Amino acid sequence: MRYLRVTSLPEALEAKARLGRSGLVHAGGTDLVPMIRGLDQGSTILDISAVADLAYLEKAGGKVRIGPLVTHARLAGSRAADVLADAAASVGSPQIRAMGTVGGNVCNASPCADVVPALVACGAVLEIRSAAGERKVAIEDFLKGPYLTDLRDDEILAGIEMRDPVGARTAFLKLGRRNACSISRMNFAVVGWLDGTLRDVRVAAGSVAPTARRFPEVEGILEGQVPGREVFDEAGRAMSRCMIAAAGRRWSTPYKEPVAAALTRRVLEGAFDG
Amino acid sequence: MASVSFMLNGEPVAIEVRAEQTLLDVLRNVIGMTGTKAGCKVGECGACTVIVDGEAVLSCLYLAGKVEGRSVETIEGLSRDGLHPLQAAFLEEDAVACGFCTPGMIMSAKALLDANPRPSDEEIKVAISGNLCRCTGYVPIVNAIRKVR
Repeated sequence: MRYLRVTSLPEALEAKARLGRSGLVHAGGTDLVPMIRGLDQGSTILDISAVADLAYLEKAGGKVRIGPLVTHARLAGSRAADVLADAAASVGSPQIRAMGTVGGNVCNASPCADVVPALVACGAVLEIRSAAGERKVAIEDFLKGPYLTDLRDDEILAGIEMRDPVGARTAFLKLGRRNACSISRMNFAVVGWLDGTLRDVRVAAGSVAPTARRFPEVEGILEGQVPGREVFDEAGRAMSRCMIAAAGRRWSTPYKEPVAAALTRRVLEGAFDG
Repeated sequence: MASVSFMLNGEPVAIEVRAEQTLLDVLRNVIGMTGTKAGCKVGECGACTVIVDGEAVLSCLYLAGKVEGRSVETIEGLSRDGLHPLQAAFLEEDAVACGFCTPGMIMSAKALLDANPRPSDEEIKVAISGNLCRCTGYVPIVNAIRKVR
């Protein structure tokens, strides 16, 4: 195995074009380093962690722009968007949050990634770069399956952009086996507006389907309604139905079915009550 | 192999490392500083915690190549002029039982106190939430850190 450290985006893109599939992009290393143990010797670790061009975090002109190398700790401490900060603060441990990056969370595409559902609820668009050019992809289209993305062998995630959810009510809720250093069993992110009635509510969840995604059936129940226990319970039941439709009935379903419904209600209460 | 130069406990170090080698492996098996402990090696226990550029990180997940140009602090860097106040407090408060988690726990506490010299109890608990201890029940550890704040 070889190691290549790059310090600029053009250098990173040139290296990725040359290395293709054998170039393993290293950002924070929290997922990559355990994964490469015992991996074949032909790979090259392409360490982009020192590429300063990819560590920006800006909020201006109605947009939030997040460089893929922004760490969870930095996002958690920022006011980029509350739902992103809450999701980032729930990742792993302080040490993991100091190392792990938002771009890594997206590109690793774990179904239980914490920041990803928050980005989905925010309608994030990914800027994908290669030596040959650039394209933009909505995050939901980028996620192809558990640990599978739309990223081609010569491409690198170079940016994450979203509309600044000004005035939005938001909430993030995570179910883990304990509070600290815990992998999500399920997580939920809500972004929406309230002007007497619910408007443009986006409900995203992780670990309830093969990829983090929005649930239009749940959102449809909420649109135009006055927030309250009844409509939130109905949305929760719809979430459970969607989960079973997406993932099938499994050994864990008797537990997850009522829990997904209750957590959906709670995340909606977190966003819209009070 | 890749060459890396970094500061280790205030002293310059220049060595050759393998691509997949971690900072933990370099510290313990190349440099011979075994104060940093190898626990789970997958980022869950915090025993390998060291401070890089002021932040507590997991040396088991930290590629050695990535320390280029950075400043690393380990438990060995704390006690060159007698015990560090955190080490003294851990002894006074009986915050050490088997001792395996202690170096990582102290490095997490030091990173907290360096950035925030007067942390609340909650901030202390969050700062050590990535460090497992199976002996003490954490109460004496929190008491020890509270004593130094």
